[in-house]
Amino acid sequence: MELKINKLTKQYGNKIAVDRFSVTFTEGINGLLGANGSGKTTLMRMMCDILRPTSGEVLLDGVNITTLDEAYRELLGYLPQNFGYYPDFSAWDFMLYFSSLKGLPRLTAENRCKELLNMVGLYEVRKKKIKTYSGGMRQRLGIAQALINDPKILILDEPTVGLDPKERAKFRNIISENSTGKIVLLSTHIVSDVEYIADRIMIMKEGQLSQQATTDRICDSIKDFVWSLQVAPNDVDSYNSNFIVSNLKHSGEQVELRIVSEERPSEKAVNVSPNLEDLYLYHFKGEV
Amino acid sequence: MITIIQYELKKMLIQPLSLMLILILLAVNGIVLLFNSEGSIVSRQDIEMQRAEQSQYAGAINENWTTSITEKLKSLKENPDNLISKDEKIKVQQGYLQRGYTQEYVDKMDNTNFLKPEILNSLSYNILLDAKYSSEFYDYAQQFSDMQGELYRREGDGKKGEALASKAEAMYGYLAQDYIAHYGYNLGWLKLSFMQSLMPFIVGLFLIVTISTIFSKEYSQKTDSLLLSTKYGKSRLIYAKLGASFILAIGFWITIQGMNLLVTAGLFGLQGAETYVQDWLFNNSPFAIPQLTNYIAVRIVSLIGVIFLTSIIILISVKSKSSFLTTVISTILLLFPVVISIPNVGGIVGRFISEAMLFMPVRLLIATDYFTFFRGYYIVGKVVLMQWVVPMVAILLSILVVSIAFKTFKRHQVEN
Repeated sequence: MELKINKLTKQYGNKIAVDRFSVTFTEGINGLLGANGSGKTTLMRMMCDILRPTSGEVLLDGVNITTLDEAYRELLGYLPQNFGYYPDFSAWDFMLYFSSLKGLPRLTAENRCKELLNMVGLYEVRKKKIKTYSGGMRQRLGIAQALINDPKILILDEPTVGLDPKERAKFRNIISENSTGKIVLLSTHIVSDVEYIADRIMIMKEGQLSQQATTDRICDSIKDFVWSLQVAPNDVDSYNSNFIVSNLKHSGEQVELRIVSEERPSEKAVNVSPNLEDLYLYHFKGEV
Repeated sequence: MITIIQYELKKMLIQPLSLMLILILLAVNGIVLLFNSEGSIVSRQDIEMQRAEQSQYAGAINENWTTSITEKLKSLKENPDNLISKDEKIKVQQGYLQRGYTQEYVDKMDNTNFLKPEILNSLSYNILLDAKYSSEFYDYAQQFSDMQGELYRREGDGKKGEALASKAEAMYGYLAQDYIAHYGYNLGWLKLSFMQSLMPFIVGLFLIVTISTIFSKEYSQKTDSLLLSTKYGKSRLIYAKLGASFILAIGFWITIQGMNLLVTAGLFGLQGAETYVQDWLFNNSPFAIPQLTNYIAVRIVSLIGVIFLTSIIILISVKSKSSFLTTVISTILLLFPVVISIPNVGGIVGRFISEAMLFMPVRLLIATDYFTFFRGYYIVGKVVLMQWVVPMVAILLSILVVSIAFKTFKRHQVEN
């Protein structure tokens, strides 16, 4: 299965939200990193066939998804950013409703909903109204509904918003367990969401694909740009103003700084291996 | 599909406001059923007395019937026991003279002016007067025939005026010469007719509050992105929403109609199904149909009105991004023809407004006044009655509006 994004563009007046974005997805987990306003949500909406592109196309195995229509959406699972819900519905109602919209027969739907609600830890409270749920519970419900039809294409827009670290870890495991034979696209600000599970990372900046590579190679581009050095506490402010400091740790009377910079920040600075967070800060330094 | 429809109905009804509204509206409807026009609770005893009194004169209005009524009235007026004393009579006459009436007029006054107050206010006398008025049914019909003919010939141009005049004369002429009107107790049917005037405030309000959210709430709650990305989000879901809306609308309308029929049958009875509908004051129907046929015709048009009203609300909902805005716009657009009186404007503008009002969904929902006057349209050399044209146009517009609503949601772009 191959999902091809071919020069996808979305323009609103003078503003270009997505700019000639081209990429090909095959099975695996793809992480999409980008700052607010970089075009991730717009891109995902076009991939879900709920927003018409200004130009370009999305092709599944060579066929435009608009042409495929229901046949495409049958394979799709989508969790939007700030997903909406029906406050007076229970989680059980919500899941069964979406099961019917995704074409599951009643009996299959009930079994599937039970399985998914158990997986996200909401089965015990399935009869309670969604309006009584916490933000994290609602997000888990959103993840569950995205998986109802065992989708072959799973698009998750900021799926871990509102989840605590334990829930985020559980989410990563759920995605990993359910990603075999699927195309998964996951957008996030939280680097750790994708760092451990994604096969490929894409950086999106100002509507364009800035960089893409496998997870183990994505940081190669900045391998010479990440530094570690120890400074006196009085000098911390100066480094903060002049460089991107990705980490700051007090170590006795000194402060250990981790800096992302193309130039060596100091003679004492030592080059260290970059991580995904360093890469994110490097790309979005203007927005930090 | 059925499951989706069930959930759409649940979405509309699960809101506490919807359930509360149903109960309030049913209660209001019930209260109005139980109250008479004077604002007091209907008395079974009074109804029974009226039924008994009026049933005495039930029958076809013909020469024998008319003669019988006339003689009974004359007999009542000439009965000395029913008249005031001589002194009181003189006082009444002097009163008329003081008000400026001539002696000649006063001398010719009949006994109606000298009946005792308890006779004047009695049920038996008033029923007799009502029957006497009914005996002039054919005369009034003939008068209307002549008046309408003259009106259309005067105002219409050439063939159009002549065609409309001929049609009106034919319809009223039939009532005057060939139709056999029946008189009798028919309070139940009059009550049912009156209850139609509440339709905008009972059924209309309910539909505006519940159905206005059918699409607009998906936008405001941001569930549109989830729905439209599902397999059936651009097909079955929309059919289900439309289906649920019409099921709810027609279901509630049937409930109200059923409630009205049952309570009216229980309180007033449904006697008088064969009696005539025209009162020649507010109801100048050219149709030779009795109460029962009129009831059915009004309900058919009212049902079309419910469908039309529902279609418009759906369209407003799908076009609007806010449930609140949908409710406000729907309320203003749909209820204003009954809440606000349109000022009398002359000329072409006035006629246009007058014609446009006939096509308002809320007027169709009430429906009773469509059958109280003659109105025809001269189309391709033929006269087509308004009572056919308006429902047909409403049906066609409903189909068009629903199609637009379907396409609008299907093509909706999630942009925020």
